Amino acid sequence: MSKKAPRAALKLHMKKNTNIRIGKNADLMAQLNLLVVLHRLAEESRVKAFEEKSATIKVHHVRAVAKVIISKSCSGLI
Amino acid sequence: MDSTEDDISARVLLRRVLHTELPRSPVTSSATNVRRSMRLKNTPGLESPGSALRHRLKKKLHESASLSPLPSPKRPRSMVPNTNPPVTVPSPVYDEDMTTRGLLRGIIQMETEASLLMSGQPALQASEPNPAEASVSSAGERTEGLSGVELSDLTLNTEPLTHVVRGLSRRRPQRAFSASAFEKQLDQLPEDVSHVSHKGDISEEKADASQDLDWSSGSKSGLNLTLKTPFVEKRIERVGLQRKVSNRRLPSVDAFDEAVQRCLEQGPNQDHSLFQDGKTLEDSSWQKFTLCLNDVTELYVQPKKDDTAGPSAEMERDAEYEREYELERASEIPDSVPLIQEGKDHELESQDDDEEDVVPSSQENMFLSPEDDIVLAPTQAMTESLPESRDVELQDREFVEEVEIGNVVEIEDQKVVEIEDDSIEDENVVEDEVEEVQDENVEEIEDEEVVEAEHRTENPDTSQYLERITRRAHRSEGGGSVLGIPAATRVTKSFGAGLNPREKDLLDFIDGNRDLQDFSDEEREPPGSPEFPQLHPAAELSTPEQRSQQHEASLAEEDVPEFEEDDDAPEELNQSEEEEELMDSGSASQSPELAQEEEEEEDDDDDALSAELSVKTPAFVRQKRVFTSSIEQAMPTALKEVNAGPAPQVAKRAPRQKRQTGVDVLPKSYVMSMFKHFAKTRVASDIYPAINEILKKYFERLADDLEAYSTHAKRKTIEVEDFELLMRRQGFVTDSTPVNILIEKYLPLEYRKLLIPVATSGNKVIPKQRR
Repeated sequence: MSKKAPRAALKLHMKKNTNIRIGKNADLMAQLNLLVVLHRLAEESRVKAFEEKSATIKVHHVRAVAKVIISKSCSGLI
Repeated sequence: MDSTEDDISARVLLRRVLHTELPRSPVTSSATNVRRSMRLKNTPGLESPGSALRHRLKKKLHESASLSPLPSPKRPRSMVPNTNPPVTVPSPVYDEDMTTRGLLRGIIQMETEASLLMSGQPALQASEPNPAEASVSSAGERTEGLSGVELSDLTLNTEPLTHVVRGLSRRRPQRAFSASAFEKQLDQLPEDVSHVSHKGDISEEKADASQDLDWSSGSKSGLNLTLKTPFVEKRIERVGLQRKVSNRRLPSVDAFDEAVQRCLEQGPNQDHSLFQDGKTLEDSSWQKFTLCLNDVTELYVQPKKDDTAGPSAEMERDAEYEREYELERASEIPDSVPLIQEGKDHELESQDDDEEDVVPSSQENMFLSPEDDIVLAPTQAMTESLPESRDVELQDREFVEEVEIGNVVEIEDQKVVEIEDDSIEDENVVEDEVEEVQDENVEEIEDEEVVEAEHRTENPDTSQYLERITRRAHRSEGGGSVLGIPAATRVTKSFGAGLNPREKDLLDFIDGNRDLQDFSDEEREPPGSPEFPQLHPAAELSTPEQRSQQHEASLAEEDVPEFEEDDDAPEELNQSEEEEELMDSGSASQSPELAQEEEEEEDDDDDALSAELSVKTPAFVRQKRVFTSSIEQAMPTALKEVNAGPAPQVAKRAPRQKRQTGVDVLPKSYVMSMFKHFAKTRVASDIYPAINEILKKYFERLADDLEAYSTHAKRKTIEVEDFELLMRRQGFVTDSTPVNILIEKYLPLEYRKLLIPVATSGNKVIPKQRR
C-alpha cells in the first residue's frame, strides 16, 4: 500500500534549519528517501526483534538499529 | 466390431435396464434364455434402472458364459431403441423408476463415449447412458474379459458412469434421486459399462448376474469416486461414441440451461454471498447477517409489490436495515474495517461484474438501483441521483438475463457503485466522485471500475470504514434485493433518500467543509468519512422508522409521512429536504435518468414533502445541525462509536489550522502504516515516538547533506539530482538499481508520475490526482 506522505510536512522538515530552497518535486524524492530509509529501519529492527525471539517489534529494537542507520546514511559510505 | 457393438450394447443395456422392470431371475444357464429374458425385459418397459441393470449384468454373465454375446447385444440394441420410447415402467418397483429411468437415459445420453473407453471401465460408463445397450454388451464383454476379478475395472468404469449419472442428475435437479436407487443404477451401469468396455464379444447375457455382483461392488466403489467426465473418456476411445455423445448432449444442455437458470434464480443471493464470503470472514458473517436480513426484507417486500418501484424501495429499505445492522457491527468491529473493506472491494468488483452482466430491464430497476444505492451506502453521500443514474445505467446494461436476478444485481451494482463512490469520496476525492458520478451517467461501468480501482488503491482508514459499511449494505441489499424486488421500491426510496440526504447533511455539518457544496454540487459525493459514520446513525434512525412504516404502509407516500412521524420532525424535514435536494441535485447534475428517479422519489415522498423540502432547503443547513444533534441523541452508543471514529478525524481538520511543525514529523498514521508494512511483523504501537525522533534527526542530516550537494553543484535549491546523489551515497541506488526503480517501488502512483516525468518530460500533475 502506498500512501501519500504530506509533502508540505516533508518540505518543512527539510527547510527547517537551512535557508536553502527546495526544488519542485524534490520533496517527492525526499519521501522516496524516507520510505527507503524507513524500510531499511524496519527491516533491521525486525531482524533485531527476531534475535530476541519476539514476534513484535519493540521500541528498543528500533532504537538500537536507528543509530546505525542514521550514521550509515549520513556518512555516505556504502 | 465387438467394441462398437459393445458400446451400443452397453447403451442398450442401460436402456433395457431403464425400461425393463424387475429383473427376472438372472441366473439362467442358457444364454438364449437370458437374452430372451433381456429382450423381454426391454419390452416390458422400464424397470428400476438399477434392477434392470442388474438383470442385464446377470444375463450377460450368463450369456457370456454360455454363448457369444454378439447376437444378444444386437438384439438389445434394436430392442432398446424400441423399448426406450415406450419407457413405460411395467414394474412398479420404484416410484423412482421414472426418475431413475430418466437418470439412466440421461446417462446414456451423457455417456456415449465413456462407456466403452476402457475394457472394463468404459463399459461401465456406457452402461449408464445406455443401460440397455451398454449393460448388455458390456456385461457380455466383461464376463469374457473379466472373470469377476475385475472389480477394479468396474471401479474405473463406474467412475464415468457416476459422472454421467450425476450429470443427468444435474440436468434434472428437481428430480429426487434416492441415493440407493442411484447407486443401484450405477451399480448396474458400471457393470454394463465394464461389459461394454470389454470389447470382447461378450454376450449381453453373459454372466450378468455374476458381473453385476462384481461390478456392483466395483461400481459402488466407483460411485464413491468422483465422476470424471465420461465424455472425455468416451471421446478418446471411440468415435462412434462421440457421435452419440454429442447428440445426446444437446438435450442435456438444454436441460442444463434450465437448471442453471433455476439455480440462478434461486441463488443469486447465494452467489453474491459466496463472493463476499470469500473475501473475509467478517464479510461472511455479514453476509449471513444480510442473508437473514434478506429474509426479513422479503417479508416487507412481498406486501409491497404494488409498484415496480416498490421492490426497489423495499430493497432499499432492506438495505438500509442491513446497513444499520452493519453500521452497528461496524462500530463494533472497527479493526476489521480494513479487511472488510478489502473484501468489500472485491465483492463490489465481483458484484459489479455480476451486475454489469445483468442488464437492467426496466425503469423499475432504475428505481431500485438508486434506492439501493441510497440504502446501501450509509455513506451515501452520493446524491440519490447518482445512484439512480448509475443504477439506471447499470441496469440498462446489465439487466437482461433474469429479472429476478437483475433486480438483485442492479441493487448490487448500485450499491457497488455507490460504495465505490462513497469510498472514493471518503478518500477526499470529492471531485473524483463528481466526475465519477457524471461519468456514471455516461459510463457506469467504467466508473465502477475506476471507482473500484481508486477504492482499492486508496484506502484511507475512514474510507475503509465507510466502505465496510457500504459493502455490508451492498451485500445485504443484494440479498434483500432479490427478495425485495417485488416490494414497493418507492417506499424504500423515500426512506433511502431521506436517509442519504440526512446523512449527508450530518456529514456535511460535521465536516463543515462540504456541507452544502457536497450536496449542491455533488450530492453524490459523500461528505467524507466522518460524515459516513454519522450517516449511519441517521440511517439507523431512519431505518427503524422505515421499518415501522413499512409495516404499516405499503405505499411509499404513506411511508414518507409515517417516516416523518416516527423520526424527529427536524430529521424528517432534513431528510425530506435532503432527499429533495439530492433529487434536485441529482437530476440537475445527472442525466434525466436521475430526474426520473428523483421524480419517482418525490412522488413517493409525497407532494407535501416535496413542498416542504423545497421550502425548507434554506433551513436545510440548520436542520443538518439538528440532525446531528438529534441523531446523536438518538444514535445508539454503537453508532456513536462509529461516529466517534471518523469524528476525530474530522475534528482534526477543523482545529488543524494551527500546525505544530515540530511536534509531528509526519502523521502517525502514515508513519506507522509504512513501518508496519515494511516490517511485515507486528509492531508495537508505542514505537511511533521513537520513530519520530529518529526521523527528526534523519531529516536534519538529510537537509544538511542535500544542501551541501546543491552548493557543490552551485545551485541554490535542492533538486532531484541532489537526492539521487544522496541515495547513491546511502547505498540505495547503485549502478544496477537506478533511481527510477526505487521511485516506482516505493512511491505511490501519483508521485511517481511527478517524479519520473520530472526527470523526463517535466509534466507536472498535482500529486493528489483525482480520477
